Amino acid sequence: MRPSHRILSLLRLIFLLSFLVVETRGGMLPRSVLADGLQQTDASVAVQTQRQSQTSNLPSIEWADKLRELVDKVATVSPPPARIELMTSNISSLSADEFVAIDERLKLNLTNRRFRIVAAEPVDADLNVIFSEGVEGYVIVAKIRRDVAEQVFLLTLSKGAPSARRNGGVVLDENLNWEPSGKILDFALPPPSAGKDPTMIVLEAGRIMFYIRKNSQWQLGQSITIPPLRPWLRAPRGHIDLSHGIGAGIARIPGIDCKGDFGNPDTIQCGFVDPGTQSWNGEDASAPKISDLGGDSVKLSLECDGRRVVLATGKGDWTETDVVQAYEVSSVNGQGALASGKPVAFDGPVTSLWWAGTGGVANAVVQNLKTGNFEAYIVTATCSH
Amino acid sequence: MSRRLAATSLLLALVLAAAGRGRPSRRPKYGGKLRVEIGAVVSSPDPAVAAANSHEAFAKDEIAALLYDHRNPDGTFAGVPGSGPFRISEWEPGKRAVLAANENYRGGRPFVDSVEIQMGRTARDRLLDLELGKADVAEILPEEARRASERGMRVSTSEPDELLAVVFVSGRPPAEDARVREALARSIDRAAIVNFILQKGGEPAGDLLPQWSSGTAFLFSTSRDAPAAKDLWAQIGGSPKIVLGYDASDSLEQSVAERIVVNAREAGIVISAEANANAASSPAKDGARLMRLWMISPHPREALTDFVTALDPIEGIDPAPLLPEGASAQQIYEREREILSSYRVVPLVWLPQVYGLGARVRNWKAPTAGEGWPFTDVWLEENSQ
Repeated sequence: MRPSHRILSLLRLIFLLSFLVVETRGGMLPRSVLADGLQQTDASVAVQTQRQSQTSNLPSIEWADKLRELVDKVATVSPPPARIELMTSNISSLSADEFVAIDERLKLNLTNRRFRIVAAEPVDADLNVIFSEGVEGYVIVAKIRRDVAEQVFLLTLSKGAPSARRNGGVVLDENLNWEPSGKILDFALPPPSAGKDPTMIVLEAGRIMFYIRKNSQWQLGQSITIPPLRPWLRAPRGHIDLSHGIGAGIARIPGIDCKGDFGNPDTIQCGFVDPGTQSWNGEDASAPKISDLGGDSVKLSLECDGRRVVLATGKGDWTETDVVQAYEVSSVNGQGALASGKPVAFDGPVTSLWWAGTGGVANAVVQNLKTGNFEAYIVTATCSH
Repeated sequence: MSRRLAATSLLLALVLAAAGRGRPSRRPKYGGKLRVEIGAVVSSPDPAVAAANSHEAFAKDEIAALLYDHRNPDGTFAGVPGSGPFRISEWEPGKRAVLAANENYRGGRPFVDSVEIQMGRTARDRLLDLELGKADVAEILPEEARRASERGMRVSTSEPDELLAVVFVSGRPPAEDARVREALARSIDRAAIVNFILQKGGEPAGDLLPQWSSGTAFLFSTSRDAPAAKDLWAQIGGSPKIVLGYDASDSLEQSVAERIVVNAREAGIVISAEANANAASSPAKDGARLMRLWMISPHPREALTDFVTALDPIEGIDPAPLLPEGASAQQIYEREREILSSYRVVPLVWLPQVYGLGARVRNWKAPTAGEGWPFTDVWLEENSQ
């Protein structure tokens, strides 16, 4: 055999082998995928899944469930495989990033269910999905038109909690600890004892409540009644002071001190006191103070580059959304307090802000204006540098 | 305490003390008289005494909400008069009421000592008194909200929660002909009502729940379709005539009724508008009337159920089947569509509650549907007059 013939035979062999490899891979694909030529290959779905996991950030897991449910409903009107012209729009408060993530997930779910998203005729159905919002949460509105008939499907989702924001300077991180059913004045999370369930102490206008965390839920264990004041104040303040240890705790509302071992609630005794003699922890959180922010303020046991960190709320009244901003207070005369890092925003006024008794941690009570509920947050400040 | 920490604390105290001066307070203060002016004339605070018009009904309801312990889900009041945040201390029928703070209100004593309500004040006088500091809170007509704001007045605008609608009176020809109802509904230019009559102080309404509540209002058209109205009217034989009734004491209703007549006549519809001295009942000649409906709750199911119940005696829509507790967005939407497709009630515009506020009013939160006037939480800045 001449060399040129040998090369030709080799090329033929390579071509045949490569054809066999492609055929073998095709044979491994699910029959349904090959059936109509509409479906993407597993490989392309895998690529999409990877891309999706890299880029998408659904607002909550509930979205994943609802988008699956939506595709199920689409399938009842236009059974797959089908060619769908998809249009999505956002008229809710979802951010642009969240909308992109939801849009991507919806497209992925549709293609995984053997729908082919097309941009031109012929189409089996038009799917117009609008992300809207009502007082009870987000509303996914899906208008599906097949032939001349249009069906409207509605799915509702709750709204999630605000997310933490970070940047340079003092970094603040807020975590929603608990959503009580009623109005609370203050709360405290005593350091957990070895081998015991975590506990939480909550102060209301008329009682002190002791919760134990079991199975990821706060369960009420014991409650101590505080003798009523006359007249009842509409916005009393209150504080649980464990600065001298849990064994010498004080729960304080104007005119009343309840003292005792807060690890053993039966020892707590409440008594009337002269409101003028009550200490409010150096007045940290009692009056508008910090610079032009004007809100309540609290000193933390945290220094960043030798400067004491103070947290302060906004200056609005209790009808407005609020923030907690960190300040660095210089010990050098004249330098004053400088805002540091980005504030964390809340959906309502911060009605109570106290140092939690450890490092850069503060407890904040917020009245969420959207839900009307009170929320107990743990705000943690850390130095970013 | 280290020397540096002592210096820091001293500096902090100085900064905080200096910053606390001369700024509005954040924490509520007790005391003072809140001076309120309204346009309605309320003859009796007794809920059992019928109101002469929709404005009296609304104001009476708001006053009752301040006197009774709480409002039941069906809109009635629980408790006895005086069990709420205020009790009546003076009542001059149709002219003036003074409500005193209830020291023993279970929700906490209101911040102000009393509320004085001047009734029957004209829109012009109310604005003038606000500007002169003679009133703390005054109702502003939605159509005057923008102008008041441009004049630098402090204006509070709620989410739109009042629906102005055309309601066809059951059993009266020609209202019993569905084509008549649909022709009139399609002829109305809602955008013109909002832009010119309301000066953009409202929103076009296509359904029985606003977008902020249900999230689905955008699914209902608010646009005019004059050619379709003309075609429908042409199909009707016998030249029926519609008489559209409105409340004689309500200038907005009069303007809207006159606008509807202009729109309808452009579509060839035979219609006239007539003032009714008593808005609580429709004269026999009225085939349709304008009606104001206030949402008793921000929640779609409760609000829709109340609307259907209120409309039942007039336009004959069967309130059954009632929406079940926990009805889904889909169920609520289907019920709305069913009602609106009968054209027995034709939504026109959504109106907000607008109030002008004096400088010393603090903690004012624009009332949301069903909440009532927020006088219980309002407090007065001492030196802002």
